[in-house]
Amino acid sequence: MLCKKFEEKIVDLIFGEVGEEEEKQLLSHIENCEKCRNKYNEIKMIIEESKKIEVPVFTSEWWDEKKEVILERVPQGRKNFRIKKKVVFSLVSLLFIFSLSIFFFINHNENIAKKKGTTYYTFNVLSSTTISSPDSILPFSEDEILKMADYMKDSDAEEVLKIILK
Amino acid sequence: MEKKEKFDKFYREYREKLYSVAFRMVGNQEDAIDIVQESFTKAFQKWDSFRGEAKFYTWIYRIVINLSYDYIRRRKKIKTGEIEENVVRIKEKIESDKMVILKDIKKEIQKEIENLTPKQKSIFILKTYEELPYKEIARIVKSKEGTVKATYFQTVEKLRRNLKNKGVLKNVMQEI
Repeated sequence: MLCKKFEEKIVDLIFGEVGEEEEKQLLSHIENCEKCRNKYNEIKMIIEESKKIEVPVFTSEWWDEKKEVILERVPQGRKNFRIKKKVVFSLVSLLFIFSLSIFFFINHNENIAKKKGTTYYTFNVLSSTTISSPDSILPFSEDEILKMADYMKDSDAEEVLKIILK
Repeated sequence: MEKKEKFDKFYREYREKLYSVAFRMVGNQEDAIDIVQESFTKAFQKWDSFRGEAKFYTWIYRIVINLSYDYIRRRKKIKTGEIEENVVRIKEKIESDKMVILKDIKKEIQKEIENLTPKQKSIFILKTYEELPYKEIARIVKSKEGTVKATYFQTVEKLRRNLKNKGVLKNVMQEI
């Protein structure tokens, strides 16, 4: 067995996480390799000594007192948390439904207006547009087109007027 | 069994384990107690969301580890100057003595553990003291099993190297 392969398995060997056959191979390797044997002994010692480092121990009564503090904290926190969650969820849902309704309402009105050639509102609610005739595909009124014609060349303006008069 | 009774059972089973992890992570009683209390409070709040206890205990270990990271970070901010001073003093001591001969190797190991990064520390604690499988540790620290295994080995190697540099291991191994 190569030392590198052994190194990968040192920790598993210390924690007894290797199979019987593999354990035999690993132990036979450290018998013959001093470098790996030293490394194994040192790591094993560090892990074993670390386990001996103590942690303060408390009595059952002391833990029970702490539990009471936890339980006292919880109900109010839980209630607030639930209320907050519910309120936020309801508000977000309402906002979503409201936005969807507005979107469909405007779209629906636009379609109807386009078909009928009447006034409809765009997303910019403040501006409205009048469609001159049911067959028109232009989203401008005759007056608006005539105003625009003031800024066109005479030849172009005539063309546009012909289209409108048709 | 009622919710409160179930929680009580869970609390009795895990209070010492979680306290041990928190204490080893932050290194002082007060912070460790705060961490455990906060973790159990969160656990009780989330009690209904978790049906399988196995998943739940992974989750509460994660809470303890994350809260410990926060405490370590906060303490670092406050004590940066203080720690730097100590580091200088330790260096001076090592340079003058060249080899520190210490009877209590546990203390030296403890010092070295304290100097690990929070991530190395949490993996070392969960494996060495809690003896959790790598798979479980990976879930707790939100990492891959292979990464956790590699980190554990690197951590142990780091401890070995540092202790060897201090001359602690040499003395102990000679005694053995």
